Amino acid sequence: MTTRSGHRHADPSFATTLAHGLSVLQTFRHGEPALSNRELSDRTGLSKATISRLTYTLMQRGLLRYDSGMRRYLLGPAVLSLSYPLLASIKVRQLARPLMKRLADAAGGSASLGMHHGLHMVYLETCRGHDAVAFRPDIGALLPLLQSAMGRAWLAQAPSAQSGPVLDELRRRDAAAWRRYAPAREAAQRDFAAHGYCVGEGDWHTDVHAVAVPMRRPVDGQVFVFNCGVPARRLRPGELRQRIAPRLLALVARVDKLMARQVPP
Amino acid sequence: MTRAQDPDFATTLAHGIDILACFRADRPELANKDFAQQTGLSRSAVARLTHTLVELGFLQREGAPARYRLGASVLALSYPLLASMQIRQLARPLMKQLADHARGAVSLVVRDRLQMVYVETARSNEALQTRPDIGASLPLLSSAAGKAWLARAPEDERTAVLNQLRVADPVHYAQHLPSLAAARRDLERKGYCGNNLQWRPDAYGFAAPLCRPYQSLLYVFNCGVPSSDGPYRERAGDIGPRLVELARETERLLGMM
Repeated sequence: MTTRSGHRHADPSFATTLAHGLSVLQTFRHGEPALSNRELSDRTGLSKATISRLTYTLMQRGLLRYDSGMRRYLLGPAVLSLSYPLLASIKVRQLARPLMKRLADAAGGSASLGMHHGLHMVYLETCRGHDAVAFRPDIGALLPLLQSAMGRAWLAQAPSAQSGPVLDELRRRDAAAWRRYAPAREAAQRDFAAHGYCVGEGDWHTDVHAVAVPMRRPVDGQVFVFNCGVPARRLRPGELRQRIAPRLLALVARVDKLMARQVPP
Repeated sequence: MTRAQDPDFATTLAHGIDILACFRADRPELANKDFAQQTGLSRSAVARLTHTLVELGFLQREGAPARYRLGASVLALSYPLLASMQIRQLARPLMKQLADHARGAVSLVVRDRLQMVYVETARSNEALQTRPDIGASLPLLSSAAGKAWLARAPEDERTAVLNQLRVADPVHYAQHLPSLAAARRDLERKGYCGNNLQWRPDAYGFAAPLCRPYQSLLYVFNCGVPSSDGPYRERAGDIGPRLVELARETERLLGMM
């Protein structure tokens, strides 16, 4: 994800130091959990003096930690504490968790709940049916919209006023990917219209096939999407659509019903 | 030296983070005046920070007058941290086994400033009143997990944290300090410590730390069970040693021994 801090100096109401500090945190990625001052400087384009000041402050707030053995910074546990009020306010998570766990076990894969965030979907909860997959979905993970079943399902259900600007931005950012995934996106729309689900068969993680179903009713203005991903080698031909998809549809129908009971009309 | 005089401290960044930290599980929506009240910053300073945080996806703004919720950019920061904690994946199946045995919740917690925070949890009892969840916090001085951390942490880190706890809340500190000595004795003798209704009136907590920090974090295993399932001693005798075994097995899996 990019921050727009670089070209915001013109806006006097924009707090550049804050943006720079947050961009330091966003430099950490899966597979690159530890970064040195120099690496942070190279990736953010900020001077080493600025980076030292920002890392010092972020450490004071618990968002970074320093490992003297590795001589590198790592994200600190405060990033989890900061997110907690957001996670805790999403009631669907608690309600759906036991159902998701059951589906993950039955499918021999993982079941996750996500919501739309800019050009991605972000995971709010995930349950695993087994632990042997190299692919490790987890809270906060970002999924691309065009490549993932969950992203396609969100796009397919969104009214055009909502999906239009997102699609324009996707096309503008990466025209090649846009063209490559155009057939899959159209197929996803047809699938959603005909069956209520969308699939992704290896476009995001090559060895994982997934099916995704959006909730019927928005909650706090958000349409949440559930998915179920299974390692491709465990699936028989047609199994994703014939066995997993109906279970996921049933799960979402059940969660919709439970939520309707929670929030009386 | 106060923070404001410290030239190495990026005040605007710290203030922006303080805005994000104003939210609570039971207060997911706040207005500019709430931020001003909680942080002591002026309304105009708050407005500039919230404007920036909205631009960057860390806050969502709704309605007029504006109300704010945390944005998903906050959540996206969790993933690289969670995914890098290999210990979570290694320990998860063992945690689930123990949770099933104890009919409770088994969690992995670390220290975040002056509290303990959950990084992984396995539940076997959805009816448990305490709902451990990733990112939720526990008190340092009055929970079993916090005491286990204080008893096992490296000396300089422990001293710094105890000092900050004393300054932050002298009464709470004085009240709980004696139980800390007891927890330390328990850890030395048995490898775990327990909490008999001191943190919550309806649950026992048991905790066992790893032998030393791993990638600069001292991990603690914690098990919470409803007090209605049996007397404290009996549950401690059953769960405590299994929690210690869980910690030792995890150290083996991590190659720490």
